[in-house]
Amino acid sequence: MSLRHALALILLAALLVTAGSLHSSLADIRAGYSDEFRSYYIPSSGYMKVASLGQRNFWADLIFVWAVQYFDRYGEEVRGANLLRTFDTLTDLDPRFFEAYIFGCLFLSLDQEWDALYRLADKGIALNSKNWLLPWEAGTYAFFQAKDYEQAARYFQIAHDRNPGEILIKDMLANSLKYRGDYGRSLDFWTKIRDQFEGDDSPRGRFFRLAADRNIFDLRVKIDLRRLEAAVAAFSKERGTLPQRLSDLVRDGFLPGVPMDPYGEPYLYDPSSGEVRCSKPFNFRGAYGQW
Amino acid sequence: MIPTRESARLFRSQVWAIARNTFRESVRSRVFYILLAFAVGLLGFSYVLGFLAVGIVRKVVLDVGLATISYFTALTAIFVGIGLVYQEIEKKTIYNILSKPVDRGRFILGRYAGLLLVLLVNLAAMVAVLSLVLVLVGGFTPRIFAAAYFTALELMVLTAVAIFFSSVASPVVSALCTAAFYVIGHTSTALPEVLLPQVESILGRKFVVLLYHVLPDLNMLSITNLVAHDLPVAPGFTPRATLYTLLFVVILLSASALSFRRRDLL
Repeated sequence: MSLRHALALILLAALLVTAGSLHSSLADIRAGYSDEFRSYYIPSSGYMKVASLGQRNFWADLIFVWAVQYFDRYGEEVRGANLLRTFDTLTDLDPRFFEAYIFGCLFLSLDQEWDALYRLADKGIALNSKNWLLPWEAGTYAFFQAKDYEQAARYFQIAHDRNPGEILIKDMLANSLKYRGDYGRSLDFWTKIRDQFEGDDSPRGRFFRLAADRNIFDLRVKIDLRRLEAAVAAFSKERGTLPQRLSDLVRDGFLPGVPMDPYGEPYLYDPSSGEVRCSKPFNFRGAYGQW
Repeated sequence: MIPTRESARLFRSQVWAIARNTFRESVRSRVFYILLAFAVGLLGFSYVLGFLAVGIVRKVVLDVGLATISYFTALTAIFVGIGLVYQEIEKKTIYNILSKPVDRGRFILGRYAGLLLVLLVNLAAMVAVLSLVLVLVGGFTPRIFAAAYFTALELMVLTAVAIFFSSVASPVVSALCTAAFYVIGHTSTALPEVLLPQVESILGRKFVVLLYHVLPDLNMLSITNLVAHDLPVAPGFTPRATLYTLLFVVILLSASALSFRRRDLL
């Protein structure tokens, strides 16, 4: 090996060592950045639409892979600010990217970002007009986690309109209507479910029949109690005293008649507090539930 | 009848001879193989990328695959096509051809056909690799051939653009202009979609709409989104897109032939 070759090799090795040390110093600087800094790398959807040069799906996929893989790396406080923007951008690029809405809603539910979740779900529902799974998912997050029965009923209604034959959607719609306080519509749904499974002795049929019976019982009681309590309150407001018996409400024109509970017995009334309640709770094996 | 048939046969044989030579010349280009290798590598990588995106392997492979094909065939068209006419003039090899009874227009057409053939072979190779990756992930769909057809239409336009600039300018200028055409063609869709909502004056809005209709829109020749989401192509779309492409190609090749005929090569 000539001296020139040896010198060239030494120079090359020195350059490699310098590059290596530069690399580690750059890595140190980079490690010092906050998570927030790194998450700013996603540009706006308008910019991405132009910069993708017609391949919007490709860039949407890349952002999706990034969002899924790095979700755990960011702190909740950073995610909250950027999660919706990330999924908003990638669904702007590919509005039919169904999985992006599903995962976006999942991540937003983990951070309890309910308004952001509803925004993303609404966008996906509007742009995927035949899909029922997304309103179903959004409804379950609203019902079970956010306990927002207004939103849950709205999403289950959309899912039901798009897939009227699915019994689980009917079940959840009826439940969310009940929790929202819309007892009349909920009772209609449970009655339809009960009729659908009449005479069906399969485990599924018996399960839904029992669920329907329990809810029909509960809703009838709730509807009656609501009417009775309203009449008691009106009586008390007008007369300045509570009625002694429920029949006083009929006598003085506050009710057309005193309703009976689902067992056919009168509701129990406490004249000292004005409280009205059912004589017995729902009996799973009793006369009312056909179990 | 006989002279017409004879001239048609001569036309075909001359154009085919130039196209065949262009093909041979282009496939010897290193740029062609480097770009093909990168594209095949990226198509293979789509397989890995697909598994990083939970549960949507097929969509990712399709999107990444079709985007790779679009980007890399366009790059090949630009880098291989830009010097095809200019270098013939620079190296003075064009005199060997033009000293024979070959019309300059036929020379342009032969060059165009040769380059297009190279690009179609390139496209076929990439589609074959993408099909293989899709078979591996269990998501093969014959509709990628429909997507490839539309990519071929785009390549027809881009090749005509590259040939046009190559016949009037140096390779560097030609590369810049062809690349600019590609960028404009793929960003003009954003004018009504992104720019228009931000313009407030009525005159400004009219200008944006006019600009959009004047500029070429290459995104119209893409059905990637429809293939990825298993959506049908609207009836009448394919023949219209083909006609749109052919119109562009005829205009550009006529312009190339006219400018090349007027050019003083001495």
